[in-house]
Amino acid sequence: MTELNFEGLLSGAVDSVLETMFFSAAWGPAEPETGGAVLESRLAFHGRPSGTFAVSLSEPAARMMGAGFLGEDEEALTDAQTGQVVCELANMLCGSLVSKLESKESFDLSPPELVPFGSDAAFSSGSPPTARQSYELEGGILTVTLHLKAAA
Amino acid sequence: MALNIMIVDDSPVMRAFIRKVVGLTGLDVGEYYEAGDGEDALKSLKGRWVDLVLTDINMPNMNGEEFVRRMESDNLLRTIPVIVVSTDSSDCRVQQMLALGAKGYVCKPFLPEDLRDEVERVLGGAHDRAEL
Repeated sequence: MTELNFEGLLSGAVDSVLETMFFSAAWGPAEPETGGAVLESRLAFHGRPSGTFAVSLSEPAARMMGAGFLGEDEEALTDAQTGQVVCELANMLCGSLVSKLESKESFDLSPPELVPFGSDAAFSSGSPPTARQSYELEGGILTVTLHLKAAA
Repeated sequence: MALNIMIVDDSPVMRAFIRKVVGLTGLDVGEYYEAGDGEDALKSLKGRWVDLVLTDINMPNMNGEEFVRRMESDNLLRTIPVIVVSTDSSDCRVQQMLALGAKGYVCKPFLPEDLRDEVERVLGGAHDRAEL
């Protein structure tokens, strides 16, 4: 694979997915959340390349995104729906990113799971991420993390 | 004539989103049917008439690839047009799904008009649509 600008690809995927499907936007780079109520979803992708992808989002931002996605009032959203929206966000961001990494190859995505915030290190076997970026949104911070597996 | 549409996706919120977007297109929809994977969808299709299927690819139990393959192997089900709605925008996957029998493909993320245009292309414009 040629050298890629992962940060640029992550930002492109975030902008595209938020604006198109969530009627929202990233305002710019931010420091990651360090605590508070945060929802985190992760999934694995298999193909060339393979790896893992995680999204974490503060709960107020997740509710706001869920409302935009489903066209509902925030108060009407259940916790389950909010969690499912965060999983769908992870799914779309991962798919959008991986398509750009190697658009000639198809890939498979595992179903996204909600996980305890901060458990990404265990998921990635402790290896440093290939790329991690945080973005300021209305209502909180979105952090996306990509781990690529080394080619065999 | 109103269209009966089946939405096949393992994410309940994505099914709700697609339903909302189809509503925005102004298509005259009779009934929406929903299924969480290909297996559920095949069972559901046995008991009812559907004019259009919108399906994801990555799903548990039976994925979209196998679902389209099973539909194509059935003399009745193969007459129902299928549009794939997936995050996988690789040329390879698009061509694979079209070769299996899907009539259209929409990549997520998509704008409402992207889905509307693909539905109209696949159905040939022979359906009622209110002005947007």
